[in-house]
Amino acid sequence: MTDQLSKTDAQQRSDQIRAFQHELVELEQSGVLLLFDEQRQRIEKCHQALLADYRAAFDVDSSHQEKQLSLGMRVASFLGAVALAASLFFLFYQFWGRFDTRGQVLILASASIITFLITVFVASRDSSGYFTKLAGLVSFSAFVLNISMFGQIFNITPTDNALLVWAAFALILAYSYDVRLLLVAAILCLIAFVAARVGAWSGVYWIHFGERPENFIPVALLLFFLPQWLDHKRFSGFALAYRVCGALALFIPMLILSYWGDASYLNFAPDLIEGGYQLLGFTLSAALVWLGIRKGWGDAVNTGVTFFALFLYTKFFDWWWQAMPKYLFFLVIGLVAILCLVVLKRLRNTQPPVTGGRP
Amino acid sequence: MKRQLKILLLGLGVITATNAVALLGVAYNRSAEPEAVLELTERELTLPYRYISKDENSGLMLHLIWRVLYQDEYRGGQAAEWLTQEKLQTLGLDLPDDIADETAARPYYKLRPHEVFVVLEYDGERYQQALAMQDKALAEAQALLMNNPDKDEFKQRVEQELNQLELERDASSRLFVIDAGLDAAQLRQRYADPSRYLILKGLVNAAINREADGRYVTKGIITQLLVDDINVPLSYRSRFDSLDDYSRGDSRHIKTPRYAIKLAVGKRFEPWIIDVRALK
Repeated sequence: MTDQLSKTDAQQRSDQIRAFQHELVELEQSGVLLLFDEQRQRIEKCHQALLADYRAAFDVDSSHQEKQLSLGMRVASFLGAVALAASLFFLFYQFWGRFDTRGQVLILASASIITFLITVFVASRDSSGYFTKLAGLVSFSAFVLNISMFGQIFNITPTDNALLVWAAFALILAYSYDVRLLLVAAILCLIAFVAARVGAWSGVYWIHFGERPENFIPVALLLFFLPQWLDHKRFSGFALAYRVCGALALFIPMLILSYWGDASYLNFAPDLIEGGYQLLGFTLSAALVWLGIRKGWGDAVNTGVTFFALFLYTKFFDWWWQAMPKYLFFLVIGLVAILCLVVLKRLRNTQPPVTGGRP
Repeated sequence: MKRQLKILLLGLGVITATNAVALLGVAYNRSAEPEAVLELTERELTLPYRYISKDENSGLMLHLIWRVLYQDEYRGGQAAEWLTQEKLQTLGLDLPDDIADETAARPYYKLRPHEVFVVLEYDGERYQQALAMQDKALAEAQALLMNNPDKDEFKQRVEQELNQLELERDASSRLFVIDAGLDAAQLRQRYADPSRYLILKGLVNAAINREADGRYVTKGIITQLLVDDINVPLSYRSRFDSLDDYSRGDSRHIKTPRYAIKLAVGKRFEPWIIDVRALK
């Protein structure tokens, strides 16, 4: 029964059950609804069984306090994972010079293997997922260290293929143990790899891929639409991670190009390129808000609104910062924010009211 | 259980396959006879600038110092006089024969570095030319001073040129990038002596400059060597641990190089150290 659910779905359903129980008490107290004992027992039995299943499979939170503590655990596991990964790097750097080449190779390769085995072991005992996330990120860092240090030890020419194998390893960990943080790591490696390859097609050496922001646009579109083609219902927030990373990989290069036309592949006057990307930035960020509202993707709406505001405010800064007195400049910014509020409120009011089903 | 086994096999597969590919590549590079073997000194392979921070990093990488012989007006840059517009075109850079105006020049400002093979000459003709250029600069400064014996400005200039000459003679790198190409075998045929010429991978780019007379001139630039930090294996570390700090990363202090390093380059044009000896 829990096989087809992600942790997020299970948490959402258990929240719904608790909200229903509270509402039922209110309705009964006000005399609007009175259930027969048999009905009440059947509902309670069903809910208890569901909650027990969710707790066993996903360690879902069953109260507001637990939810707050879980948030703390999420933050702690993220910070712990980053700190342990950094510690692994510095530990190796501190001592690697004391080992001969064979020793260095053995330590690096076995660190990758051992940390991976630890992750598999921890995952088999950790239903909360926090410790798995921590172990998984350390394992990924050990693998990154492994390959990058081989490059240093043997003076190997840098290659973008390293990004591909790091992405593959992070994807294995992310999809095996439902770890979104590792999915983001994999997506970043993939963005860099595809952008490097796109750059290499135009003859540019791969390390310089970042100097041409347009290299990121194909991979950005691919990532954004990937959850449309691949079902990610069983994974917590994976579709969101693809969409947000895709949108960032699209809008950040566009924002750069809207002020640095010389970085474009296009052989037009820089002003024309910058103007074109400004227009495209406004249009696409507004389109993303529209798409987000239509599909019910809150993440897409937020990203779209953020970039629309960024494109707008950087343009205002460009036009008026020097020309206007500061009080007037900030007044205009404030008035535009109020206008945005009015537009969003009207949009909100045009949405049909939710009368049933899942929120 | 089956799922766990699948994850285990996948993860271990990626780790072992990647390690194997990397190590097989290293083995291939170092198999059979090296492509070239050169003995360089501290002048060409220097200690890292912050070698003093070895408390945090116990490894040691030596930095390969290479130069290009530039035309006088480009002194201080890395525009090689032999890296002409025609040469850049043969290296795969999409450049026009002639640039008439700013509109025509614009696309070429956007060029990014291309990967090529570069030839490095050790202690050869280019180094002798660099010495001769410095001798000439000193002679010119001395002539100026002779004509204006009371001017401090010219005294200082002579002193500067003397220091430069001393630096060139005793401390600066004698490793010059002298050619580049897309075919390493052809380059090796042209520069046949593997004890004098190294072939490594590097990046070239073109810089379009508008001269004072309005002409657009294309200059070729060697932007970097792809591997220019060389790891020192533990077996050679003891030769470096006893060295004082004074010369770290600053060739002005090297009066006499303190070590010589035999550097081999393999089939993938990746270098490694095969011997280190102390110099008196």
